[in-house]
Amino acid sequence: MGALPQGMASQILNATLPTGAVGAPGAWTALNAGAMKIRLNSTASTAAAYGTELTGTGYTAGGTAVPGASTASAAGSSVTLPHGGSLSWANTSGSQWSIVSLDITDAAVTPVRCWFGNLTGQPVLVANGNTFQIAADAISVGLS
Amino acid sequence: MADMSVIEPVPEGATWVVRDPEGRIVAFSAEPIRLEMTTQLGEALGGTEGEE
Repeated sequence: MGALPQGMASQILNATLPTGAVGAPGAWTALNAGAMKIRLNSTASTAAAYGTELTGTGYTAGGTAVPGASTASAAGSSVTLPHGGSLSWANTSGSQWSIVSLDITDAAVTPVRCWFGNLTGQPVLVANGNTFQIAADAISVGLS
Repeated sequence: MADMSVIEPVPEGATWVVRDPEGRIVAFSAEPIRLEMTTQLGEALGGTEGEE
């Protein structure tokens, strides 16, 4: 399960409903133009807040950029990512990782959190020396 | 001597895997990682169907 963070839900509502002047659509705050990132957490993210981000050698704070552009949604279809390749994190932190959730953010210095969800089978335990890999197009994001 | 080690391929349909340092898969999931939001407005509007 996953969902929209509160901030992104408000962005969508405000930009698609008459919250602007004289009943016009509200303004949309553009996201950073860089490649979006996947952030991994050791606790569950919620609509209100990120989970606790992984730390240690092998994990870059803020997350890892996706390798390429996903196929755009059409007729309400879901979008899958990471597209164009898998993402891997080699744990050399000296201790075990316990991965519970992920967030999808933009690439801003202070990122905008766009989606969040738990990993199936969480917590995923990654011993020191092991590598965690998300397969290409394994994450499916949709509005149903 | 050539390095003949081969990284074990990702199982069919796997969404995530954990590999040991030799590339062997020690855990994986074939369940989709779904981040989905239900459009509640559509459900609310549909709730009046059939009422007299």
